[in-house]
Amino acid sequence: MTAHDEAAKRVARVGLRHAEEVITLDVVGAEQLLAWAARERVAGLLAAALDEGTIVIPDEQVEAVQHLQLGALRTALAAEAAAAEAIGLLTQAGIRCTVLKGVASAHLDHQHPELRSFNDADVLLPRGATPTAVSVLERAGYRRQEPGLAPWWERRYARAVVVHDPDGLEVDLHTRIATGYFGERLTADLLFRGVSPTIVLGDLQFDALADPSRLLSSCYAAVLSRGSHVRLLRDIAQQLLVTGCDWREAAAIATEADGEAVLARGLLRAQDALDLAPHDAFEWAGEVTPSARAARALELSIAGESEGFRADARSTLLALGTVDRARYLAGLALPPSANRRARGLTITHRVRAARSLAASAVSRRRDG
Amino acid sequence: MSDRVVQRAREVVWRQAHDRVLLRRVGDHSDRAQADLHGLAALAWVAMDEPMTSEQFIAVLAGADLVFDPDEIAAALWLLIDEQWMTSSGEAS
Repeated sequence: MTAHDEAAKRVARVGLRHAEEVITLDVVGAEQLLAWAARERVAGLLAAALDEGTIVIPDEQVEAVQHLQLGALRTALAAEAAAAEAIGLLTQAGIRCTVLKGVASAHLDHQHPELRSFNDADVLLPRGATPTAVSVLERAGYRRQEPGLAPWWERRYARAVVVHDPDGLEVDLHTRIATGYFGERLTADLLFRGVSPTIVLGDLQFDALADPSRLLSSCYAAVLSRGSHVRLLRDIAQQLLVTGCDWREAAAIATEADGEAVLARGLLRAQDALDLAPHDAFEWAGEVTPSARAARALELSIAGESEGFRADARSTLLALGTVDRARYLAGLALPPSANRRARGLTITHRVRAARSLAASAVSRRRDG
Repeated sequence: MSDRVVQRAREVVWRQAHDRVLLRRVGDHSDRAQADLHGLAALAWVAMDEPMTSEQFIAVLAGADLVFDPDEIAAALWLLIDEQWMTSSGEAS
């Protein structure tokens, strides 16, 4: 392991361990660390590691870290303001909603919100609320990123819709915390179980997900969404080791949603990436065996890295009954014309795509 | 001014950077939606977790071994109030 790799690991777990040895980087090592921190959006953690003195970089590069952190803080603040405005508008319209990931973790799990960087606002809505929520926000000047599928389909199956506020900031409206099988199985009733802590953003106060549900949400995001996830793995460690989330309750919720393997993988990835000390939760995670469907959905999640939405859709089908499968595919096959035009697709193209989805679902049933 | 209670405007979210405080007004998409506070104004923002008078603020600063001219403090608070990042009302209890 290079000094840069060790320093990156140190940044990711800053504040979680006592008496870390000091790592001193030269100019090249510091440049690599800065580039990594920018890519992984962990500028706040890097600044904290420098403040703590466990990482030392040349004086001339300290200013670059401060500049990086300032940019990250501006972005997070803009996203937070967008989240607060959206939550306020949706709540006034009678839609119960809360924040996920960055905003929630920054305020509820980290010692101070400056430590947690994020680029967008993730808002969780009740299932079925997407078309109404989009209308409410559009009346306030928000714009949807692309025209949606049929409203009946979005009410029933949409996982997330992206809108932009009048300043162009991204707000992701989620009705599920993950795509595919696992997102479909984890219902709002399960997620909103337990005592909700309060988040205060400006003059707005609202309920967040309870601690175990936030831990579960972080694990789902780290395991099932695409790309690199150092900040999500840090969230997991933070929620488990600092916030003291009840991981057994998280496991109980996951069990009801066939998501134990996702929780387990998230915990183990965090332990491995941050080199965390042994913990009962990691021991439990090491013994979890996924159900057959969960194993298949995990395979599809990995396939999604290259296949994209096709793999997500096949994963969703695993959670649906026969009638719902037909409805789900029909909605994908026959999107409204505005959606087709925006994506440059013809009806024939869409039907062909949906037919191959249906064929793969049939062959899977035959195989399994 | 000295007996007026000053507090942060409620519709503002903020972050503390190494040399400044960043402010952003929720629901405001105009040019006046954001500001960077430096020096005394930044200190005032951070100190005002609770509403307080300028005299109470001076005491807070003194407790942190920071001494400023009371006129400078009053000017910084008035600027924040004038720009609607803070509000003032009533008298201290």
